[in-house]
Amino acid sequence: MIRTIVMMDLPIDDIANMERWYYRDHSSEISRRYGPWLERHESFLALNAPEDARAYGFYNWRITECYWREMPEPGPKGAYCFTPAPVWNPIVAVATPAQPDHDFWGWDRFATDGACIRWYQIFRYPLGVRLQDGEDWYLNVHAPEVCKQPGLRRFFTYPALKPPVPLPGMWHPEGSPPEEMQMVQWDRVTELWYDSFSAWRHAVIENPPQYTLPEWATDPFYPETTDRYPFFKPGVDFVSSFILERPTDEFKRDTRHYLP
Amino acid sequence: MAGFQLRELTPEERAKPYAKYYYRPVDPPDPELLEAVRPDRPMDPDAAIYPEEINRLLDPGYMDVETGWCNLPNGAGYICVNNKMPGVTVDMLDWWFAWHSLASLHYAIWYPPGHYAISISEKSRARVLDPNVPVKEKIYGRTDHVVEDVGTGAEDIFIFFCHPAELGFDMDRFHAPNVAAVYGGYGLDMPVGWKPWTIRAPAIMCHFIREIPGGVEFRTRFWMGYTLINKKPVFMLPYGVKVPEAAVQGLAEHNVREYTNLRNVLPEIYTELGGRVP
Repeated sequence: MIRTIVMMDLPIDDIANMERWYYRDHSSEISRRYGPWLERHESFLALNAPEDARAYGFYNWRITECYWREMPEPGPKGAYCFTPAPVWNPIVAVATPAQPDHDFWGWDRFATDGACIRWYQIFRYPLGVRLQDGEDWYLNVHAPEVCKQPGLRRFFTYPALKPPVPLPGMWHPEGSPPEEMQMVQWDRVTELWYDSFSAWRHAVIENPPQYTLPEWATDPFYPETTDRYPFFKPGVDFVSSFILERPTDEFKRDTRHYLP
Repeated sequence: MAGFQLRELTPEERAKPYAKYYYRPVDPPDPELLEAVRPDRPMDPDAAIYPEEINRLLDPGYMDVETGWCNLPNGAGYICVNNKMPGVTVDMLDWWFAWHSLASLHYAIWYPPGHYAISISEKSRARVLDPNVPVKEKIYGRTDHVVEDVGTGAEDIFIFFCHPAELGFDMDRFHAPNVAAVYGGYGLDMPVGWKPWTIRAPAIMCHFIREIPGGVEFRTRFWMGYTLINKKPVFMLPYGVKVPEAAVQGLAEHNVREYTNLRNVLPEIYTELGGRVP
């Protein structure tokens, strides 16, 4: 089973038009046309994160996840083009397996132990870094150190699927999202859970564990890097959002029409 | 390359004994090769090989098309070039692929009109300079950042060099006379002045060397739109995307020109510098 993820950001002035388009047109078209292949089609509205939490490539609108029993073929397969969005705002899109490949921390707790906020991260290793070198640092050096964050509740990660998974459906040639939005290749999706934003701040900013710097953080050969946690340049190689445990929308079940 | 201007060398660069190669006029390429990579003459894609078939390069003889370019049916770009290099040895090439990474002047000598700058990481530099690493192996695992015009304007290119086994070669068959050396890997390129989310175009590159009487032949293959992950070629283009023809043809022509010039410079500079790194 494949999970596709779209994380979305927008200027607040676009929110009314984008919400209407997303409910009335886009999510309906996805559910109606691809429902037979889709097991889940859910969306999480981003939390109103405090300013310091927005310094990590924050995306402010939605994360939508689709779980596919199998992928429909791409291309015009008997459907119209998608209704174009009123504006094209930044999105990142990635596909992962349905289950994480590494569950590092917190699996031995119970859901009844307390609710959490989820720090949902999508990242790629910096330009010039080989995938296997990045993975070696992240999984074998960095992840054990992240597990030492005080108050961390959950930590698990998924690899991005490669080659990129072709999504079904067609955008109109004159109404397509910018090509670079579709061609950025991400490497991982990670979730870190905390009790609250205060707990997040304590773990990430005020009282972090000692981290081992990756090679790219200090060698000027690598052009777009940082030596600050999480060691990926925010908004370039690292985007993130904060969401709650339960989806805001379950589009396959939600039959409310979008009417003002 | 029409209209190019040579970069002014720094005083330190000008003082190098080999700076003279930078100012030497570039040798004209073999007209037959240039004809084979003309913009209006893409080759038949049926005569191309895919990166999964890389071991066909180990077969004796030649493929139906040894020099040409085309788009494959999946949208990828394919390039093949057979550059004969009389007077060039594998030792010279091994040395060149180590030495040229150490300074932008070294890299620029290769092809002054289109090779502008090179840098490698501190870790890679230490490996290139390590006398305990054989010259042939100094390329393995190295990442080069070059600034180069491969036919469509200056680009930032990151090249991840690999051991032939990582490229997929059957190492049981990887010996003379099938092959004398391979310099290859995978890369990402983007126009100079790129923004963080500019498309990073992937490609697999393989320079496959065989010894021939009086020299070597340099059989190049590029697969634009592919990368290597865990020793396997992976097709990375989204559905419906095609590598622009101008980029494919431009790289093929650039390849003809840069290796023509290298073959004419290399024996002399190798002898002059005694094959030493650095």
